[in-house]
Amino acid sequence: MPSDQHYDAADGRARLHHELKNPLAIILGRTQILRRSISRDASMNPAEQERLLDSLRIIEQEVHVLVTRIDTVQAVHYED
Amino acid sequence: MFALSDTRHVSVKQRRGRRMEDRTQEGRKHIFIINGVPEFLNLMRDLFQDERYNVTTTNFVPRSFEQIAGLQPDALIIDVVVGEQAGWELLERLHAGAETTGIPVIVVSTSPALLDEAQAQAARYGSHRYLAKPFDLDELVRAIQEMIGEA
Repeated sequence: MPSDQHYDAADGRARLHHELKNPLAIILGRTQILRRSISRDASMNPAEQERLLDSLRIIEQEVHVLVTRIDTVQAVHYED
Repeated sequence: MFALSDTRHVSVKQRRGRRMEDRTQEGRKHIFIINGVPEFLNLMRDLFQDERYNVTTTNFVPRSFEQIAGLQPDALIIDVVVGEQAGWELLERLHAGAETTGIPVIVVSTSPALLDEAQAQAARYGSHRYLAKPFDLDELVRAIQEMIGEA
């Protein structure tokens, strides 16, 4: 494994970030899978389709906000 | 150990409590995915089957080299994890193996720093594509298509 003194000192925090980002990756991925299905559904009412796609965009945006915050916290700890 | 309870697959090969799931159809490109999180594997399986690829997934790294050498997939997606050696060792073995060194790999991780490190050590691990989780699925699909073509 690549050596890095930060990991020696903050392995617990790194593992925590790993445990947080994996569920977020699944949430984001499933949101995008849903978006694909909804976009392809020609039988869906366009207004309803847009409403659902809007909701999914909000979920994706919030996931990205969380990821940014996790990365920010991680960067701050590595500077300690 | 993880309990995979997905009943959607054609065949499940169960070895010593670890599971490798394999759903293949003739003529399709084959992607082999290694990840320790069952729900992430399910997501990858759903994505790439929707894209008309054959997909094999496993959550057990130590025997993966032999499986990969035997199956000769068209591409690999491998997760490298903070504090775990197995993913790195697999990358080294794949790069060193005559029968596996040519298989393109997408390395994924929740840690961008690990990906940077792997990329910096191309001589040791090989030169591949690197994606930080969470990533956009379309970006992953594009990367696979660029590496091995359409399904």
